[in-house]
Amino acid sequence: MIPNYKEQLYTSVQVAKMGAGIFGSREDPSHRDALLAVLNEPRFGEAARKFAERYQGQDVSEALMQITRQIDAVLGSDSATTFVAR
Amino acid sequence: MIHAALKDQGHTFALAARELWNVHHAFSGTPVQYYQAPFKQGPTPLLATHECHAHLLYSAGYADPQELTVLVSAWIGVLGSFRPDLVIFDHSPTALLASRCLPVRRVIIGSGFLVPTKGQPMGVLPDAPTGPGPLSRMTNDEAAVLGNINKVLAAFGLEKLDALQDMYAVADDEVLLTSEELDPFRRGPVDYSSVWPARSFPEQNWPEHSNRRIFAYLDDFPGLKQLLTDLESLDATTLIYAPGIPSKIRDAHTSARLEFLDGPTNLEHLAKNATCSFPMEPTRAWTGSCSRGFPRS
Repeated sequence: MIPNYKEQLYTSVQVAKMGAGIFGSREDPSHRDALLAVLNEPRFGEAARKFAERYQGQDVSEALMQITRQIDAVLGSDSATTFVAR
Repeated sequence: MIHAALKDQGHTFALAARELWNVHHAFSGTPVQYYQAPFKQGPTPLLATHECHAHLLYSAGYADPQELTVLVSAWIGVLGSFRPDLVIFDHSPTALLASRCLPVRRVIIGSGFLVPTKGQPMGVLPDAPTGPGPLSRMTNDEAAVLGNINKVLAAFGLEKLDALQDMYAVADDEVLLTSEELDPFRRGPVDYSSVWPARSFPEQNWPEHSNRRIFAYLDDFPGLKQLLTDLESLDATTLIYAPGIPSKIRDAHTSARLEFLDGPTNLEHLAKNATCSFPMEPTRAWTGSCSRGFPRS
C-alpha cells in the first residue's frame, strides 16, 4: 500500500497492524523489497486469511439490505426522494 | 448498489458529487439526477498538522465564515432544488450543516475515518500527539472553527451549536462501512457494516499462464514508473487498474507480465485466485481483496 492521504494512511496502518500487508511511502525509491516480502513470506497470507475467515459469513447483498432497512426505518415510509451528498 | 436497492423500493434518487466525471461507472442503468457538489476552492489555509476534525474542517472552508456562508448557501440551493425527504451524507459536513435549513431526515454513511468520533475535541486523529499541550491547542482550534460555524448559522437564522460534535447530532442514523480491525478510531463495540456494498463491475479473468498473481490499483505519482518496473521484474503476473495515468506510460509498460485494465473490475472475482494486491486506495479496495484472504503490499 502506498497511502496518499490521511484516510489511506490510517487504513494502511490498520492492515499492517493485523500483519496482512506492508505500506510504504510515495517517496520510496523502490517497492521491490516490499512486493517480494508479501509474495514470499507466508505470514502475510495467513493474516489475511484469518481476517477473511472472521468475515466469511458476511454477504454483500445482506449488508446492502441491512443498510436499506436502516434508511427505510429513518424514513418511515415505503417510497421517498433520496439525495446523496458527497 | 444502495441507490439501485432504494430505486427498487420506489425511491427517487439524486446525487451531488465533487467529481462528476466518473460517476457513470457506478450509477449507469439507474435514473439519477446529478448535481455538482459545492466544495472549497481557491487557496487552502496552511496548517502545520492535522490532529483533529476541526483541523480537517478548517482546511475545507471553515477558516473563513464568509467563505463558509457561500458554501452553505450553495448547498441549500442544491438540496432545495431536489427537495429530498432524506439525505445520505457520504462525508459532506457542509451539506450536513446546510440541511439544517430543510425539513429532511439524515443518514451519515462512510468509512471509519469519515464518520468522526464524538467528544471535545471531536475526531482526534490516531497519530495526534497526546498530553495537555496538544489537547489545549486542539480545544482552542476547535473553538475557533465552532465560532465560524455559529456565525454562519446565525446568518441563516439558525440556532447556534454548543459544541462541534453537535454538527453531527442531527443525524437520524449512521452507517459505518468498515470493520473493527480497520476502523482507525477503534471506537469499541459498535455496529460495523463490515462490507462495502460496491457495484458489481465486469469480471476479469487472470491470464492462463499466470502462476503468482498481483492486482494493482494505482494512480499517477512521481514513483509510478519505478513501481511498474518493480512489478515487471517479479516472477508474477500483474493486472493493473490505473485510471488517469498517461497512455504513454501505460503503453511503455504493457507486457506479458503487466496488463492494464480498461475500467473498474470485480475485485471479489479477481481475489479468488490472486496472490496479493497492491491498492493505492486501500480503504474501499479492502472489501474485495483482503477480505477474501490475500495479503497486500
